[in-house]
Amino acid sequence: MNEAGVEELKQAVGPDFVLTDSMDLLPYSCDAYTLAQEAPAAVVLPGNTAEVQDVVRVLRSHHVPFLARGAGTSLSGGATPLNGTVIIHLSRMNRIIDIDTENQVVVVEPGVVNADITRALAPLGFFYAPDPSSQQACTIGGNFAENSGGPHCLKYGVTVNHIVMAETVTSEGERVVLGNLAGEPDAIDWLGLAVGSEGTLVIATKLWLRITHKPSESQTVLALFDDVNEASQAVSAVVAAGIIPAALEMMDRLAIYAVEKGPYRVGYPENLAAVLLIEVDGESREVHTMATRVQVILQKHLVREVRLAATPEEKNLWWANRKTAFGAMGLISPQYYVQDGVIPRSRLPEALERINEIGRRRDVRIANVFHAGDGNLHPLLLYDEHDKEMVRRVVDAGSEILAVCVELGGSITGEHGVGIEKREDMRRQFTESELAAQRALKHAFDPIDILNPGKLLPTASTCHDENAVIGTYPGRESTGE
Amino acid sequence: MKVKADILAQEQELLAVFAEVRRDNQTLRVEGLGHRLQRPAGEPATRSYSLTGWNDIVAYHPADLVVTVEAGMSVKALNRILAEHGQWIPLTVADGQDDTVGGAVSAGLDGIWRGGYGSFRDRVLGLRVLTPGFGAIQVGAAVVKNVAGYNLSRLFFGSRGTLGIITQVTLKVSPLPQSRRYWAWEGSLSEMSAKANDLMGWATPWAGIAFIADPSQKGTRLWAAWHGVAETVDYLAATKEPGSPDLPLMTRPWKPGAVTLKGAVPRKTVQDVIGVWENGLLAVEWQSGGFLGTLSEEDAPRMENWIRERSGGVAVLSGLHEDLPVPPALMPIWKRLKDAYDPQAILG
Repeated sequence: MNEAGVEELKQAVGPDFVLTDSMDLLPYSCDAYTLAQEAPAAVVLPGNTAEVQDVVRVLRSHHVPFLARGAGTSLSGGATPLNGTVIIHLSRMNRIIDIDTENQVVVVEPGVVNADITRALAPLGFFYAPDPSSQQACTIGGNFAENSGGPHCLKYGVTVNHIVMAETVTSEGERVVLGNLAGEPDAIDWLGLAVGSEGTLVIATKLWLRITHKPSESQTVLALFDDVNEASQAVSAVVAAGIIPAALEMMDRLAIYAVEKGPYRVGYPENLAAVLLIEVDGESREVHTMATRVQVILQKHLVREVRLAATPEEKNLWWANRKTAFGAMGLISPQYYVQDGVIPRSRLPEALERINEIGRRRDVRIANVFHAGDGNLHPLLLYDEHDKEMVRRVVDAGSEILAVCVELGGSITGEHGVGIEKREDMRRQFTESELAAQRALKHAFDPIDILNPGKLLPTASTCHDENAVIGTYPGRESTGE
Repeated sequence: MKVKADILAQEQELLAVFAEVRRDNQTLRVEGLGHRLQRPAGEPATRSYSLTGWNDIVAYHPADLVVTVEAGMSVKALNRILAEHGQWIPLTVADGQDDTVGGAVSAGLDGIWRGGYGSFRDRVLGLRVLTPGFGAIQVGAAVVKNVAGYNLSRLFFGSRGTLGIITQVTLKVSPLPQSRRYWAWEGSLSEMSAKANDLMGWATPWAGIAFIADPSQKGTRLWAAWHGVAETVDYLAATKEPGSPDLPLMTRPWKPGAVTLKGAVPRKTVQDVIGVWENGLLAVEWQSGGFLGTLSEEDAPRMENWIRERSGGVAVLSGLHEDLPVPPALMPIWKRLKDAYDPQAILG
């Protein structure tokens, strides 16, 4: 970024809101995916939509790539600047503008922290459903970009199901409103395309979020297992019985060991193989009936103990214990690398066995903390960054785990996104024809590839692809019968 | 369940049709059950291709609550298969018509269960699409959670086959409710609105709460359904009033020749849209604002404008041709997409 460009940026947002000093830029070198780091050319902090438009136009006129960033909690490198990218940091745009209970929407700026929205809604009897584990820090603009999930997405859906309208700025600096208050596209769902596009299509500057009536009651069941395979089968049994819990989470032995060292210790018995945490919510009669049925189903498996939370405090402790599981890895390892594959939930036992085998073979300790109800695995691969050979083994093991997910009929990412991390793994899931179709979407929105370039898609292949015309068979063999 | 070789052979046949249409300078229209057709006046030379023969299950594992079907299978036929495993796709269009699954996706349909079960759009996990530009492509995945790459299902849902022909659809299915009951009331619009609010105050979400306005009848009809456990349904039956045995939706068929509009309005304007909808049938779901209704060709454009001015979404479903509605600001993006996916413009 040359001096003239920096001056223009300062004119656009004010001199205090353009960072160019190398010490100021250092914290922006990566997001929560720390395996790739690169300092941005500059950081700009606009205060409103018009300033975002001005900044985009300045950067475009200087042919400087740019990306939008929130709290930097992305786990796949989506907010990591590459090749002289300028970061547009949206932290100043952090107001909850309006709560409209009649239309059941809350209007927010992108820098609002996820958990603050539900806190603001609670007195009115509503909540905002997507609750990623980082919800105390992550911003709603980042949730928009990544289509974030969370434990309660099993019943309530992910971010794309809860954003009805968005004011956005295009790569050309135009303000475009996607969607409407009704949450109903006239035809093509432009908003649905933008959500989860990892900041490569548009920058969201204002969001209208769907809010949900707080359920009148919820109950949480905890099940302690001596056999992880039994726990996996119990997950399938609950869902197969026609019960859709609000959340259905699982931790394995190493994960339990870590969380019990953290601040929210439940006091789990020694030598547990797995813990299931199951929450049901809704109308009170529905909840009581479902919670009873869940306990009956669990008892049909080899479960050591089934508990029903007796008090709100006990329930909150169980959830705090689970939600801090990623951070707890820091108590048992210098670093950890979290993966995010998805499998059909009926393949859970097989997937966990394969992950364990990969860990044994590659000599990598792997803890599993995951959204079992929707088959979204989060293997946590433990390592020491000073051991370069170990880092290589960890990265290879992570990629191999994703290959297993695709082989079992799943996906390389359920909620963390592709970012930098899984660009090349996209080839595991999609043919060149399918990737070309995705590139066409990127090109349609951003023909000069200036908005968060180098993310989400692998570099185009020039190799001949024998599947280019007929593609591949859906379900990838494993789901067909 | 259809095997891979048969599917690939079918696809080759349709890809050959693409080539013939291109050679003969025609356009291609894919048809399902034919309820939702828009036929433009002075239509250029068009070749029709029916997908109703593409009607098999591709993959179904009940424990995963996911099914992949060929696009030509009807929703009712699919639900008969799913019911054997205690599951269903909650899509019942307010006019009672059956649709092919691919047609429902292509037309962007929704139905009376939207308030209780979420939109049909949110159930679409993946699609297989034959495109003139890229050949056969798979978008999305056969799992309930997936953010790998762009969510191209959202590009094809509601695009009326203008970018590609949907040949397979992967859907998230729901367990059939253990118990269910329906209620129906009639009265003035304000009385029925108060009743609907009363229902919402008791519990949410209801499987469906719909207003039915019929110009041939006085007053407004309110219809409600609760799906859940037997204990709740018994409680409701005992405290709310005896229920109705069936879906008391449309009491007479749509008027032939009328324009059908579908879409949704913001919740705050549900009562208003019933008030201004003149001389046509209308069904509006109270919790979601989703609607389906008929109007004359003269009144339909006025109503479309009224809905868009209030930040609702609306599209013509049948009876009157309109180009795919694209916001002016997005037109350059749409043109680039069309050029890439259908470079010779052989689709619609």
